[in-house]
Amino acid sequence: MTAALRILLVEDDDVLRDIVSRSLRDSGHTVDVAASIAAARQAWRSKKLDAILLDLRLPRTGAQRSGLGSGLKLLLEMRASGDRTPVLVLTAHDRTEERIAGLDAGADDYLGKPFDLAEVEARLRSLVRRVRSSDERTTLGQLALDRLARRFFVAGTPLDLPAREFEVLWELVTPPGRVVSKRDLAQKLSQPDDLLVDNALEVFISKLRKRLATSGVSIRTLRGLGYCLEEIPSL
Amino acid sequence: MRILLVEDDAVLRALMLRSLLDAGHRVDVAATIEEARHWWQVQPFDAVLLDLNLPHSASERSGIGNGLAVLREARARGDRTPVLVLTARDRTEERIAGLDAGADDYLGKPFDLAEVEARLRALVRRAHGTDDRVDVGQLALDRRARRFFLSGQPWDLPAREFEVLWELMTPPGRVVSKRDLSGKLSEADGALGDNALEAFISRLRKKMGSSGVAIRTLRGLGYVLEEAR
Repeated sequence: MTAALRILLVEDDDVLRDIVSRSLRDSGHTVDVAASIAAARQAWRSKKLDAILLDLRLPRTGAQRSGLGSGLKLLLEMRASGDRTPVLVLTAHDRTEERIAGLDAGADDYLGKPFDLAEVEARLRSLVRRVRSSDERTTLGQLALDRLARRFFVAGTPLDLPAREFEVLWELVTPPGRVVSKRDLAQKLSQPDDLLVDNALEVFISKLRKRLATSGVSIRTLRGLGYCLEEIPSL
Repeated sequence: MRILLVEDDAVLRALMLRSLLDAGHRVDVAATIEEARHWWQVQPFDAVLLDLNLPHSASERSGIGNGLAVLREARARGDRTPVLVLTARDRTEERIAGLDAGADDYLGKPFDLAEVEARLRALVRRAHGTDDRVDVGQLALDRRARRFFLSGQPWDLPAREFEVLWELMTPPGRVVSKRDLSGKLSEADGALGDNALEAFISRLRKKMGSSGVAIRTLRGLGYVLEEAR
């Protein structure tokens, strides 16, 4: 079973929007709706979404004579800004070259109208599984991170960390083995009025090393590159 | 990319194989459930193209099995290789069953090979958290064109070096172990040895010269592509 998702449904046809949103809500999902490019952009930027169902032919704004815009352009714009929210395009534009253009614009999946709601849900499940598979729970040695719970465990016991150490360790296990530079860490951890300095960072790393002493993982310093979390080979 | 193509129809298989090879992929083929299971277990792939109606084995009276069984086995052992099902079983409930068995995408026959390629790119983007176009310093990779660019100029590489560099940029900054590389580049007759791998890396380094990107060796970890400081 899929956990409840937060989904943005972008569709300008009132009837279809009602049917799809009702069906998704009946399955336990939270659904935000948008009927124009402007409304979609606003919701997309301001909310933390698990997936977006995107129609392609949409009025630019809610105003009656706003003219038609392109959902594809909106998708390109969001991807160019670094957004990676999973997108399933649902559209009447269903020729092969339109499907290819949609996928290459950054869509994860593309389904022509008319579609079957059960298939939309199955494709959503598959998409979210793909996104979360490397995502939900990470283990390295005795150390585990449950991302949904935002909690670390060592050998099954919760490891509760001060916020900044938590953030550092989170970065180091996302994904495990990634080399994280000091600069990236400092930026992630800085408050608006307070840039984190190297010394402070080294203190957090040193504290984490002590806490992780029995976890079977260690934080390795790669000179000039940063830090990297790795499993200590068992003897 | 390294792709496992599972298809029992010899004509269609040859057609797809040609198209995938032309697109620059490395392809292993399987025509039966048995072969598909074997390859999937011994070889790491970037993606699997999976037909569903397949003979159990090459023996003439083996009967027809279901490719979804192989997919379920792979998912059960924690294998997350992206899978695109390509099949004549294209009723809605069959598509749903395929997706719920662990397929990442599902396309009915007949399909357009260009769409298969576009869907493969979408799967790889998602699986590796990367984009179709990526830049590291003066080096760029355009996955659609399957081409590297160095300082804006197309940069054509021999197949093996291309594959090594592709891995290092999927996604950029990834630490790629020698084991990953030799697994991905291995031939049917054996894994790629460390010496051969080091030779490819060394050639790439020479060609990169003073371009502002470098392949750095992380002792015990592998290689990472980075902007030279």
